[in-house]
Formats: sequence, structure tokens, C-alpha cells
Amino acid sequence: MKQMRKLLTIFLCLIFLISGCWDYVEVEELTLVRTIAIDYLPERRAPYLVTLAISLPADIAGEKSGSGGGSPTQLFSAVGATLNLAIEQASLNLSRRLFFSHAELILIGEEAAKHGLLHILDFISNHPQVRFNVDLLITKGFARDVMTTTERLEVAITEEMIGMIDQARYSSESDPLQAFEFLQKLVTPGQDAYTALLLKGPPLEEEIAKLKDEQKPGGQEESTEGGAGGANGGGKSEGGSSGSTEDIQEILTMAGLAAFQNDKLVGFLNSHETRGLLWFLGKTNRTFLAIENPEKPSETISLHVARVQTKIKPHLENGQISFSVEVITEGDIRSQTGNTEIFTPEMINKINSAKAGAIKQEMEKAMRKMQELKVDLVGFGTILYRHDPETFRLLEEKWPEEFSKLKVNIVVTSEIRRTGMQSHPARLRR
Amino acid sequence: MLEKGKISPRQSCQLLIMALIATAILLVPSITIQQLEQDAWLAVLLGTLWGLVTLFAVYQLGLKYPNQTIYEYAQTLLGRWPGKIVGLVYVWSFLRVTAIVIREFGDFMTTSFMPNTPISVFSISLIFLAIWAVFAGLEILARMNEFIIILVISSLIFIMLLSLDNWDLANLQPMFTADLLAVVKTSFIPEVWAVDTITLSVIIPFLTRPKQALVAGAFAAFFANGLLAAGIIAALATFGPFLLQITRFPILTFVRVINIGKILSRFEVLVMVVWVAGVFIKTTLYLYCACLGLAQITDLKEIRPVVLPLGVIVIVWSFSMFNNIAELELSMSTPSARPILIYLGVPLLLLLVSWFKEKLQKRQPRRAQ
Repeated sequence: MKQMRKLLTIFLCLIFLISGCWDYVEVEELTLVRTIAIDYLPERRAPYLVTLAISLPADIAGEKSGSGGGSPTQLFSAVGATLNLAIEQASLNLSRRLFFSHAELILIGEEAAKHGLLHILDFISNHPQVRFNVDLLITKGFARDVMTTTERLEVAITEEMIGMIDQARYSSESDPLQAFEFLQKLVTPGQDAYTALLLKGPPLEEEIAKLKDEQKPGGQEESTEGGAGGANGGGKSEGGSSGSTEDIQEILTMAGLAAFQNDKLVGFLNSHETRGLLWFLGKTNRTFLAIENPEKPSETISLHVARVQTKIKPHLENGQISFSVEVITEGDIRSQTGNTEIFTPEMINKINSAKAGAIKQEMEKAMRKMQELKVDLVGFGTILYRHDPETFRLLEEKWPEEFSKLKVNIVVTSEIRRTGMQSHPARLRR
Repeated sequence: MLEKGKISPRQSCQLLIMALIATAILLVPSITIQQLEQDAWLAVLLGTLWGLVTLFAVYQLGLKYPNQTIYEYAQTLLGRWPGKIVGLVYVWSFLRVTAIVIREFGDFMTTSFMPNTPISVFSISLIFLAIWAVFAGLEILARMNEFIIILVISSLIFIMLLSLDNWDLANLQPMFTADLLAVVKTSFIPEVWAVDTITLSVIIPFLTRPKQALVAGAFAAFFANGLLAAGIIAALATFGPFLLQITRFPILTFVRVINIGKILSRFEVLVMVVWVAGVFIKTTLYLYCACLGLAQITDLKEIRPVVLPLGVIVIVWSFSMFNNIAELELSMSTPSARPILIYLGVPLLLLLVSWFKEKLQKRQPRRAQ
């Protein structure tokens, strides 16, 4: 017995000596990968170009890092035949260990998306550190170019993009998905995947200047000068960040969706089509709609949508599949361009039906676009599968074709409950 | 008696719950979903029934032969040597379960949390804890479990409540489309089936009130498999069956995506708590059953001499049993005749034999008169 005790003690001491420090890394030796941008360079032996946006742990905690690092985020790029190899290459340029648990964003370039996301999703879901709920964004053009954009409000470009993703949930022009949501759409039969599109382009100030230039030949000289001056003035009042008009920085916009068939990018939905799609999904809470004034078509009324509920049901008649889509929305009136008396029950009824018409039109437009691309982003196939698995099993193979000629019957019910702080529009006495 | 401690029926129920949940929560969701997609939880609920059959047989035998474990009454029923052989089969299978649990635990830790740490670190530290606990005896284990179970069950329920935000119940549709035969087949996978009720065949003699063993065991089986089914439903509602099919540890993956207001997130640690605690209890319970069995078969007066050797055998076995995680998963997910025979067949056979013997005994005195 005593011998046993001794033996046990020795072994237990050994355990303390050898136990679990293999994976131990000091925080000071770590760098946090915040964003992974992935591009694909076709016809190369090492086609994956990976750009890592890296910050030091101290920056995340909000402490002022004493070391002179300049910008808190550093970019490291490398190419490889797979993502892991590319990351390995990138780490040759680093003085610290890479840590992926705090990666929040994966940006995928247009070319990589066209080539297929399978490898990228495989990398995400198989990696023990990369989290399954990282946000997935597609960029037009190279993802690396997006990373070099200068941040405007936040400390780093990653934070800026994360903020934009949060904001996107308060509007209805795009719908960023997390990696697991995207993968779920991808692997579920009768459904195609999508995620938000990130654009990089010149800000509106530059566009205004261009518009003025276009007007030049037609307009009078004096007015043009005045206009240019005005534009400059606007540029200055915009803030110090843009500096002089010559080096106007490009800015990021999140609008529209990238549509995938299987794992390959097949097309883009612009922001109107995106909202049309989101009506189907019941995700358009908080958005603004513009409709013509039913009394005076030249005037516009803007409406705010606060709630939306969508029910989709499949119907099977004589082997013909059709879907009925019922949308119920609620919201209020926000403003109008004229001063028509619109706050009466009759007018509100008219506006309601105009709003329902506008929504229906938007949805049909989105539907046409999806059928053109043969991507079932709504998941009509999945809905059919859930209601009637046998019928769907028969159609599963040729669902894209079936979808492209699918009949969808849309019924929109709109309710305007409130009209804002005004009781009557301002009347002009003279 | 080799064991001097006594445990209450409630403690035995808690031990069973832990033994059932500990491993089930890890691989069962993935295995059942691969076979049955969104109807996976049906197999888990059905599997409870088989566990109850085992429980019933073991309970009846336990009442007929009070103060005897399965190793002892097997000898009284079948004769000395056949009984010892049956006993050795049980020792072997308890050891095998211990080895598999240790291996699963090690693979889980190295895959998802510490990829650079050798698996032996986890296995060896776990088996040493288990050996220590077996030395201490059943009563100590049961008392410790009373505390641990609160941690484990509350973490599991907490995790599920937090995930409500991610649920989409449409993912569970279409319901009841799976083939009935497939459901039955899946429910016979030993991990799905509430197979741990077999340990009661060793524990019943040490209960303060053996008559309550049936209620305690049944409650444990229903509670544990109910919780497991709830876990599967939660994971299904979050991910849908098609995404879950490709994940190795669905419950872990499903906890990883919990993110409420960017503050309540990263609860993997809770899964690890459930795991480390649950696996420790399960390993100890099975090692204890095996050690007690070997001691009783070889007519030892003490359990201690066999604990350390068996522990070493288990650790080596856990390393050598599978070459890689794919082999482990394959062996877990294929229903085979062996566990059905050992855990369902043998107890029923013993019950049948005891029943016949009783009939014979009743007849013989009559003839004598």
C-alpha cells in the first residue's frame, strides 16, 4: 500500500511536469488576425492570394501600444496552392505567432468567388481556431484592394467593415451572412447561397463634380463656375479627412448581393433587387420606400417600413407547382415632396395600395433576376421539400430549370398605422 | 464484501445520468443526424426503450439475489466456471468502454482545443484521476458526482437557452419522414441506446434501498436521453440537418456560433466543463465496475491490487484500439451484434435462467412431498 502511494505520488508529480503546456503561448507573442482577404489568381501554381489584416492584442484591448507601429493594422500577403500554405508563407514575414480566434471577417475577391468557395468554406469549418460565425463578404474586384482603403471613423479598416455589417442589419439593401449560414444555404437542397457585396469606389463628392462637368457644354459659363465653386465648398465642409479635391479617397459601400449557384459566383443583385429578395425572406425591417402620390403623380411620398411578415406556401395542381407568397407589412408615413393633404383615412388607404403595388413590383423584379440567373435564393425548393418531400425528391436534380419557370403568386398587404409628428402638411397661403 | 460504502438510489441515478450524457453529447448528434437527418432525435428517444429493457432485467436479477453483483449471481445461476466466463466478458466490455471514452475524450481535446498537445497527456491524466477515484470507492465517487452534475446539467441547459436566438424551427421539417427501419437500426447504436443502465447490475447491491433502483434507472435514462434529444433539436434548429452532417462535434459547433449582442459569446469553455467532468465520472464508473468484477471473479479480498494494472491496460488499449478518428467514428456509428448480445442478451438470458430455476425449485419440493 505504501509503495502504491509512492508510485502514485511520483506519477502525479510527473503529470504536473509534462502536462498541457504544448499549446501555451504568451499573449505578447501573439498577433490577432482580424480579417482574411482571399483572392484567386487563375493559371498559377499557387493561386490563392491571402491578405491578413493583423493587429496586436494590446490594440484590441484599447491600450495605447508603446511600440511605434504607426497604423494599428498591418497587412501581410502571400500566395499558396491552398489557404493553409499561403498563410504559412505569410507567417514567414511575421515576428509573432498568428492567432485566428479573433478573425471576424472573411473577404472574398470576385475571381475567387467565381472559381468556387468550396475550399474556402472547407478551410473555415475545419480550422480549430477560425470561428464558424465569421462574416463572409464578397468584393467586386480584388479583396486585397478593399483592405488598403483608409479607415474613416474607426481605428482600423476591419472595425469599419464590421460596423458596416452591423449597420446593414438596420437597412435592407444588403444581407451579410455568417459563414455557417452561407454554408447551410449551400448544402441544403433546393436553395442557393448569397452574401453581401462590398464595393470600393469614389465617394459622392467626386460624382457631383463629374455631374457638373457633364453639364458644362449645355449650360452657361457663369452658372458652371458657380456650380464648381459650390462643389468645392461642399467638399471642404465634408471634413478634413478627404483633404484636397485631388486625392479624394475611395470609400467602401455595402450594397447588393452576390448570388451563388453551388459554390460559384454567377451574378450580382443590385440594391433594389436585393430588397425585393429580402421581402421574400421577411428580412426588410426598417427600410424606406418611395411611392408616387396617388393624387399628384409628380410628387413623391416616402414611407418607413417597420415590420414585415412573409408566408410562402407551395401549391401542387395537376403536377404544376406554384407558390403563393403573402407579405404583410406595417409602417408609417415619413415625408412628402408636396403638401397634399394625405393624412386622411381615404388617402392612407390609397397610399396603402400604392405601397403594396410598389412592393409587389420590387419582388417581381427580384424574382425575374433570380430566374434569369437560375439561383433560388429564397429557397422555394426547400419550402417545397419541407411541405412535400416526395415531390421535391423527384424534382431535385433539375430544380434550377424548374425554378427558372416557377409561377409565384404574390399578395402584399400593407398597413400604415401612423403618420408622424405632423397633423397636417404645411399650407402655403399665397 | 469488497465495497463497504453504500449509495442512495438518487446518487445512483445521478451517476447514470452523467455516464449517459458524458459521451452521448459528443458524437451521438453527428452519428444520428448522418443516418436520419432531421428525425435524429426520434432514434435517441426510441433508444431509451432498449436501455429500459436492460434496466428491467438487471433490476429483477438484483432483487432476486440481494447483495450480489452480476459477477456473483452469474456464478450461482450458470455454475462456477461458465459464470466466471460471463463475468470476464463483462469485465472486458467495461474496460473496452473505458478505453473508448478515454480515446474519444483525447481526440476531442486535441482536435478542437489543443492541437499541439499529444493525446497521451489527456489520457494519462484522466486515467490517473480515475484510478485514484476507484481507490476511494463508490461512495466517494457518488458524492463527488452530486456536486459535478449540477455544473454539467446547468451548463447544458444554459447553453441551449442561449442558443434560442439562433433557432429556426422550420429546419426540423419535414418531420417523421425517416424510414422506420432506419430509426430502429440507428437506435441500436450503443451510444444512442441508453446502454449505461447495465452498470446498475454492479451497483444495485450497494444501494441503500435496492427496490428504488428501477425508478432511479428509468428516470436517469429518460432524463439523459431527453436532454440529448433536446440538444440535437437545438443543434438542428440552429444549423439544419444538412450542415450538421458535415460537422464532427455538432454541440460544440453550435455553441461556437452563439453570439448574443456581441457580449455573450464563446461558451466553448462550458462544453469543455461538461466534457472533462462527465468523462471523468464515466471513466471512473466503468473502471470501477471492471475492477470490482475482476476482484470478485478471482475471489480477491480487496479491489486495490487490480486497479492499477487494469488502468494501465486501459490506457494502452485506448491508444492501440484505433489508428485515427475516422476508425473511431466508424466503429461508433455501426450498430453491431456484440453490444446487443452483451448488454441486452445476457441479462435477459440470466433472468430467464433464474426464472426456470425457480419453477424447477417449486416443482421439486412438491414431488418430494
